[in-house]
Amino acid sequence: MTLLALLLVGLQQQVVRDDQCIKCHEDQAAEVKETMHQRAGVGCVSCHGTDEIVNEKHKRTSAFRPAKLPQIAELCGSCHLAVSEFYWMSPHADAASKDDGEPKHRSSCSACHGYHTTTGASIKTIMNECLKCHEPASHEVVEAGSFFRTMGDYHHALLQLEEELARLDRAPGIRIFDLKGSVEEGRAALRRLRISQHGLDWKRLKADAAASADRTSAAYNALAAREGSFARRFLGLGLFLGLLALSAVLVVRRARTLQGESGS
Amino acid sequence: MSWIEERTGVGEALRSLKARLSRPLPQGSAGAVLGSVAIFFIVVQVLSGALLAIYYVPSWNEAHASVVRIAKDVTFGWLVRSVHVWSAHLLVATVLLHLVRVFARGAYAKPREATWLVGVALFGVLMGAAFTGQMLPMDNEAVNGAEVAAAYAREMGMADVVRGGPNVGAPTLTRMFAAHVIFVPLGLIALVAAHLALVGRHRLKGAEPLEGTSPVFLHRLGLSLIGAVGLLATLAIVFPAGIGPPPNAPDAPAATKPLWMFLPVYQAAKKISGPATLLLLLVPPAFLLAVPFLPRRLAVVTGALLLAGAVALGILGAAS
Repeated sequence: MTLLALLLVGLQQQVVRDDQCIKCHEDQAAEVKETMHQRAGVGCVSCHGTDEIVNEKHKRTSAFRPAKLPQIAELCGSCHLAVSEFYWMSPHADAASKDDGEPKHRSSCSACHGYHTTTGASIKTIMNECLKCHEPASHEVVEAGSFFRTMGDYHHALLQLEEELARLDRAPGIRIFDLKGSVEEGRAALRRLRISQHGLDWKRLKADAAASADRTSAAYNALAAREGSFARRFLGLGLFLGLLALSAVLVVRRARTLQGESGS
Repeated sequence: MSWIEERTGVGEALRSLKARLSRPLPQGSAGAVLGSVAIFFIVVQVLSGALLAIYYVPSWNEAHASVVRIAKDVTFGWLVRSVHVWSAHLLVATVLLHLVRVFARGAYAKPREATWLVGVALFGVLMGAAFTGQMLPMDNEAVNGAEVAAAYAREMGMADVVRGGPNVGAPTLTRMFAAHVIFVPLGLIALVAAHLALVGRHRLKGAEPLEGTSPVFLHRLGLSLIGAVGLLATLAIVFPAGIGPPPNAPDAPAATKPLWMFLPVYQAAKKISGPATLLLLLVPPAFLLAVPFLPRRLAVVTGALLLAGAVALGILGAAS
């Protein structure tokens, strides 16, 4: 009897899919369209409800949910594991867990990255979000601003090194193989910092970014030094040509001496 | 020293060489050192090539990377490679001048026909050395060059001989490498030895009645070699040999030009196709081999026409 009841219910039910959602939720669908999440297969049901069997009039069921702030962080963290780990250690996670409608408690992923568009957050966006709750002169904002400036300098130094390496990629006489490794390490460090910045440990983050920037600058300076060293080959050539000229003078003098001897 | 001399006779051999180089020169023989300068460049090629062979990897997938490593990572690798590349250019240029000078003086005539023929064979081997050497970096230019050479060889039914298969690939590089580092040096050693022996036997044209000794040739040779070393060092250091893009690289040009010595054939082949290409490839060497046996006037007129044509085609090819 139970099996029969389930079968009858099942005939009236359907599996919820994104293409069914977007029939009504066109605006949200437009926001999600072409995002990285859509390309990665993260759809409506990923955040708003599982693809379990529900009644046709889904609003009356509990399977669909408006995404709550703590749930958002959990949902994002189910894929973005490393970022999530740092986020849950931060004061922002504690604040967001309250989710009582207060602006200061809306510090979840969506605050900086948006809901449906889910873009990478620019520094301007992040700082604007900070200022919604924190005073401009507050310790947090000052430290965050300082960190992001260091990150900006680091990113700039890394791009500069990459440009130089690309320019000298096929230049003879200038070794770059080991410095290409520095760029790889630099990119990895940048990725790590962008992840760990969600933990808001600004002092440590700034120290790490500064250390990475120093390593990148050292690689850039090493490259410039190698270019300078290669340019000094002209000095060696000058000395060598001088020696050759001296040899030529000696040969000519010897020839004249011999001619003089044979003439006398 | 006497112990070494008694057993090897090296001192006597050196005295004999000095005596041979101290023979008096005939009038108008200022260019007689060109052959010796060419031999100097051959020695440079052998030595620098041996050093390059330590790091070069003759593999289809690794050849380009190994050349990049030589040019960028190996200490003074760029210099050795630049010397090898520039010495090759200077060698072919010197041999061409030597050939034109001997032709203009009619020094190929009896009894020096064999000297001329061996010299022409040497010139052919050097052109082969230049072609196969250009292939070894396996950059875009090399692969394009191999395809063009295979297209010419197809007219003689020998495309597969150049490629080592139906397409330019790993077997092409293997045979180019073998040709460049084994067959070319062996041919050079044998032909240079024969050429020198013949020059020693017949002496320079016009020098037969001259007796005694003269230091003039040795002094000219010394100055010429100093000049050759200076020119080679300047070119190699001021203009280090570049690294071409690998085949199919985004910045690799679709069409490339051959080395300057092949420009006349490259330019002429633009207007010629089919069996006529065969004539283009065979007439110049056939003429050079026939020169000693042609009437002087016919040889001079034909040679002058061929030389002028080659120079004009070379300039057009370079400008195209």
